[in-house]
Amino acid sequence: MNDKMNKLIRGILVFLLYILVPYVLDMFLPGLTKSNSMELLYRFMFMFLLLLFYGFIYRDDLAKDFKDLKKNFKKIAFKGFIYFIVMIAAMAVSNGIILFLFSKFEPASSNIISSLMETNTLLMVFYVFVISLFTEQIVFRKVFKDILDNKYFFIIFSSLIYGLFQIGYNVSSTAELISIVPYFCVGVILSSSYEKTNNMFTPCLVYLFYDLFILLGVISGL
Amino acid sequence: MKKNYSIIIISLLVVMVICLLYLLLKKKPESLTPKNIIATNEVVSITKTELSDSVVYEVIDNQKGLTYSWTFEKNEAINKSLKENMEIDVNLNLNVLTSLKNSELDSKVTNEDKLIVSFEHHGKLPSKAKISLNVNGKYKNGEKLYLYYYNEEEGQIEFIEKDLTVKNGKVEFEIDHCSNYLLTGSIVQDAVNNPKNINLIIIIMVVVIIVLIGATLFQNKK
Repeated sequence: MNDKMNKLIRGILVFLLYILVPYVLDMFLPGLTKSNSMELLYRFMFMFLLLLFYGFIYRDDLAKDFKDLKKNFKKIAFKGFIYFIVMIAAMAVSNGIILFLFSKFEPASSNIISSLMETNTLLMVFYVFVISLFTEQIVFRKVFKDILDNKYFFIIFSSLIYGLFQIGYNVSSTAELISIVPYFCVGVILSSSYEKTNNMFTPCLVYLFYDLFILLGVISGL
Repeated sequence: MKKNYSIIIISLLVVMVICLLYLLLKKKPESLTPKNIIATNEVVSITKTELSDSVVYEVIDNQKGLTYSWTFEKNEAINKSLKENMEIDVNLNLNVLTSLKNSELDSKVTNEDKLIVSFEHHGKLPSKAKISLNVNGKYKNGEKLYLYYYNEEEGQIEFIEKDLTVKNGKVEFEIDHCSNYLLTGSIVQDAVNNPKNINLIIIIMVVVIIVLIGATLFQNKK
């Protein structure tokens, strides 16, 4: 079996687990406990185990990227910060356009994170800064970059799928698909940062800056 | 030839007999008991109509410009709540607002088309009640709405029901306790228990797998 086939099988497995695990948890967890906090704890525990499994699958590549990150930390962090600034601007502009054109739709935001942080602070911080951050970069960046050779196709396709996943569970009409735009922009910036540096930790850093930015907003009450 | 004619005639006769039987056996519309006006003044008029299996209270609030009705299924709990003068032991008044004072609701729900249904009665109802609310002017006929419950204690918005269709300017929904509810034309992203649209996710999953396999095969051929 050649390397490409190996990457394809790993990618499909990672992608399928990303969809199936939360779905299975949705089915079984409400029956296990009546406490919302306990349910959240169990959910995060399983998602963390899934992340560890992803880490095990890509252990060689991640180790290589981590060595590169240690070696060129300043350079990668600076690039990550620039991409973060562009990401904030792109989100603001795309949200503004959507709100202007379709006032009915809600802008892409992290309000759900902030509202959950009020009740389960530590759990949510761990989820946002560790589980969600790394899982999404592996599923939507690493998997696609490993398989798709064409960099433009990789950036567009991975961003489209990322955007669809962010809104997909809540979309009830085709008109609501317009809310994909801000997430698509975020996807393009994250995938571009990965493509440019060839290091999986760059999009992680970009998203980490973004999460810190949101956390600062929550703390300062904005 | 004659045989064919007789078959057609017999078939027609059978159809006619079935139609006649259907018309004869069809349930006659329920005869309504005379309406009882149980409260009326310049501001509010409440009318009670007793059906065989339910009790309907129609409220016209001239001051607030609201028309709505409560339908309770007849059962022991309801009978206990009925007073001698036909009044029910439930405050039937409600308010329809676009924002709720002194609450976080406005910051949590940015949907511009939201309508807050605030019941003056607080707590559990004697039995499930169907509320029919006139939303003419706010939502169009045929528009599908989402119903959310605003849990003030937890500070969260909880999904209750979707696809509530506006018919003749009215929307109907069932509740078993009174508090603050929310009607919107689109999903509230920050709500808990939002319905998950798994169909789109399955489509995305299939597309991703096909594209990834296709790309691998194509690149291998190259």
